Amino acid sequence: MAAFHELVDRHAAYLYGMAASLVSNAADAEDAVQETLAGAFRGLRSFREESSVKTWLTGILVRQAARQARGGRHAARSIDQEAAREQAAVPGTPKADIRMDVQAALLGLRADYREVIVLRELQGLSYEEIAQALGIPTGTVESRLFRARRELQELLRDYMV
Amino acid sequence: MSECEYAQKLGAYHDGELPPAQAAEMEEHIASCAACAAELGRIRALSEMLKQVRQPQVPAATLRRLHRRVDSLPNLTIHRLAEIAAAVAAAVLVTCSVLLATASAGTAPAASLPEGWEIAAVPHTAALSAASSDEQLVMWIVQDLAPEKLDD
Repeated sequence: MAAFHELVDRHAAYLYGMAASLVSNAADAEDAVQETLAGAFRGLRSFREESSVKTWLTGILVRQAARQARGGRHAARSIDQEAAREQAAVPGTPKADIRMDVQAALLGLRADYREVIVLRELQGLSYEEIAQALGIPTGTVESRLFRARRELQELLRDYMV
Repeated sequence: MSECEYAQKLGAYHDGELPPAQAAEMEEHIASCAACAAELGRIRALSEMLKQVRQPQVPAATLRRLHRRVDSLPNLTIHRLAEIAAAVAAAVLVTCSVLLATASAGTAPAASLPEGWEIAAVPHTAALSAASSDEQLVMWIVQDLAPEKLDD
């Protein structure tokens, strides 16, 4: 299992960062990553090198995060709250408000819109990679991104000039 | 008022996903369409805002729990040892056969042993370097797994 541990070390930060943007609290994010690793293990034989390991793991994580979002077990410590606590230690940083509001707006999006925004804007995946991870055509990625951006602009209209 | 027909492609243009010819056409259009220029500005502003979303580091305790989760997956050690033992047994058999054959023929022993068992018997651990690709890692993991432990 040394190779699997190596895989965890390589992708843990990426997976956890993405999970944190897709679910509402740290515990659910960790659960999503744990279940992603278990799911990857179970599905190892189904991995095909048509996509990269990163894209493959991304697809599993998005599905696990959606499950967590539907039936999240942990309501207590949100990632927002943790970010707020960190920012509170640095008084006079207006960026804290923007970050909090952007994070809240992301969580306010419907799940399929949030997924494409997180994968494109936060993780920098190409349309092709997003399409592979989500199992949808690239045209659908583009149209979802269009609608997701419109919705986010509306949710964040106070910051839009 | 109906929206400009180019508006739906502004996101793809911003993301660098348009083919060069379409991107050039879009640039030309934006230069003459105030509505699209404004919309592109909003898309860029939104993108800048999203860059401020905090990407949390993995807490050390979380990383430890992730590795423990991996350890709790089906234990492969016994299966791996059995594979190695079988490979070694096969190698001994091949060696004896070669020695017997050469002794009876009165010729010199073969210079080298078959390579397959050697490859099978070498643990991958030493090779887990940064140079290994993710895909190589997955291949090794699959090789280490017993068929019954995986879903097809």
